[in-house]
Order: sequence, then structure tokens, then C-alpha cells
Amino acid sequence: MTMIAPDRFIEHARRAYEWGRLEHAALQSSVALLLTAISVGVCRESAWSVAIGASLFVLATSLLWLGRTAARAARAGLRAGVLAFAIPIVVLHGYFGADCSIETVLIVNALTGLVVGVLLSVQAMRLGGRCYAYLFGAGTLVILSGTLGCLFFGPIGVTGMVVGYFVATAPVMVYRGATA
Amino acid sequence: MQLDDVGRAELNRNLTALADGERHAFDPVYRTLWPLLVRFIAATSGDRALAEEIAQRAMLKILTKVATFDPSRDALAWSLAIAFNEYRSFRRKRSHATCDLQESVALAIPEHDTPEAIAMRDNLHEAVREVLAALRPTDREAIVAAIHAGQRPPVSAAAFRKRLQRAIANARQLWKRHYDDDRP
Repeated sequence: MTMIAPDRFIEHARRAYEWGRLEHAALQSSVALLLTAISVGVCRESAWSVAIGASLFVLATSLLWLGRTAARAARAGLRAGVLAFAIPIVVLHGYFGADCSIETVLIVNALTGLVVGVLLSVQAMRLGGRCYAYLFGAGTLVILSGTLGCLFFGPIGVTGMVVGYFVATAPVMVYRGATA
Repeated sequence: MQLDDVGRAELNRNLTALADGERHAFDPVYRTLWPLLVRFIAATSGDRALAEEIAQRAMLKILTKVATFDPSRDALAWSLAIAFNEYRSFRRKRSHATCDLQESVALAIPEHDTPEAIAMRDNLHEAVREVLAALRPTDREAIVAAIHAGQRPPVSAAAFRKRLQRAIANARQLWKRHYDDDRP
């Protein structure tokens, strides 16, 4: 490498910073690729799994690259997303198997959404005014991860999880809105 | 430029903010680190021009890796460690490049009988002869016996190997003293 002119170097430095962040963000989001691979194997809806997995990866990478509250939301969303992905797969595929009814899917997914929502709400309470962005960012990642695990059960599973998550996080949003 | 405790704490704060994605911390970090990196590498290498080049590499590496910065660590120590690694890696690369160059020069000695090739071969032979002449007789005897597979001194094979090893080490030292490198 030859020396860069000092007046142009700061631009190189800024680019290096942004590329470094992007690379690190992509590495941290690689868990989304793992979930996608499992979803392709388990849910037998490859095209949907890849599309949702890619959206999850791109969104998580973007939030982590942005930094601050967005990055915190992405990290929490990915951690909680693993839970939202694993619970339906373990319970519905592993335990109920072929005897799985629509009601069971709805209840299991709603409870998963509720548990994950409560966990994220507790963390969001510490963030003050930024809790909306946090819950929205983390929640989107959770829903996308959960969808990867629920593809086999169709829209009913995803709906259950969204409702559960919304029920768990709504009180925090209302409380924060009232005390802001 | 000296960095006192206040400046150090500020650098810690700014680098932590930059690691978290606060873009407005970029300029303060850049302004604080740049002169420190140049000074540090200049002091390590003793070459101001080289220091600026390596400081640029170090700065790019620091900024590329800043997202992985652990706020419990000292920002200055972390940055200087990266700068020192850059300096070491530059030195290593340069030393390899020099060796490769010398090897390629040695390999490029032409076999044919052009005036240049003859002159190069003669110079090289003359240099080898000078080094051999400066060796102790026992060392010279061991090297000549090994090269020409001639009559070995009346010692055991193990003792001869050891003597040859010592002779080669001495020859290398002499070569280095005369020609500043141990590769003929």
C-alpha cells in the first residue's frame, strides 16, 4: 500500500469505519443463515424459508450497522428470535408431531410471542424514550425468526406469535407513552 | 503531543461511542489518534516518513476493527497495540520482500557466457574465495570436503557434521560482515 494524500485520507478512514461496521454486522447476523438452513430442512417450504431468511439477515445486518438503539434492538431481537424459532419447532414438530391441531399451533405460538415480548419489554423499560424503536426493531426480527420456524403451519402460526408479542409489549408502550 | 488522564478518558469515551455507532465521535477520535500514532511509530521505527505511512495503515485497521472494541479496555493501549502489530507486519513483509529480491537476483545469475554473466560469476567466486580464505583451516577443510565430497578429516561422522555446522555458521558470519547478508 502506498501512502494516501493526507487531505483524502480522512475519506478512506470513514469508508474503512463503515466497511468494518458492515462486516462485523454481517458476521453477527449470520445466525439468521443458520436458522434459514434449519427452516429449509424442517419446514419443506424452501422458497419461503430463503426469502424470509434473507429478509431477516438483511434487516439484522442493517440495524447492527446503524448502531446505537437499532444495534441493541438487533442483538436482542436475534437472541429472542432464536427462542421464537426454536420453541414452535421443538414443541410442534418434536412433541405433537402429526397430532398437531390449529388450536395447538395458535396457543403455542401465542405463548412464545408472549414470553419473548415480556423478555424484550423488561429490557426496553431501561431505554426510556427509545423503547418504541427498540421494541419495533427487536419485534420485527423476532417475528421473522418465528415465521421461519412456523412456515410449516402457515399464517395461523405467525398470527399467533404476532398477537402474543403485541399483547406482551403493548402495556410497556402505553406506560412509556403516558410517562414521556 | 502528550495525552493526559483527561485526554485519555475522553479518547476512551469517544472510541466507545464510535464502537456503538455514534458517527459524531469519528472526528474527535481521528484528531486525537492520528498524531499519537505517528509519534508512536516514529519513535519505534526512527523514521518519520515511514511512520506516516504505517500510521495510515494502523488508523484504517483501528477504524475497521472499532466495532469490536471492548469498552472495558483502555482505548489508547488497544489502538497502539494495533499500530505496533501493523509496524511489525510491515517490517516482516519488507524483510521477506528483500529476501525474495536477493533470491531472485541469485537465481537470475545467467548461465551463458555474456560479459555481464561472466563478471557476475567472477565477482561471486571472488567473494566466496575471500570468505573461505578468512576461515580457520579446520572450518575451510570441512566445507571443502563437504562441497567436493573429498577426503574427510579423520573424525567420526557425528563429529564431522558438528564441525561442518560450525564452519557454515562461521562462514555465514563472515559473509554477513562483508556483504551484510548471510545468503551468497
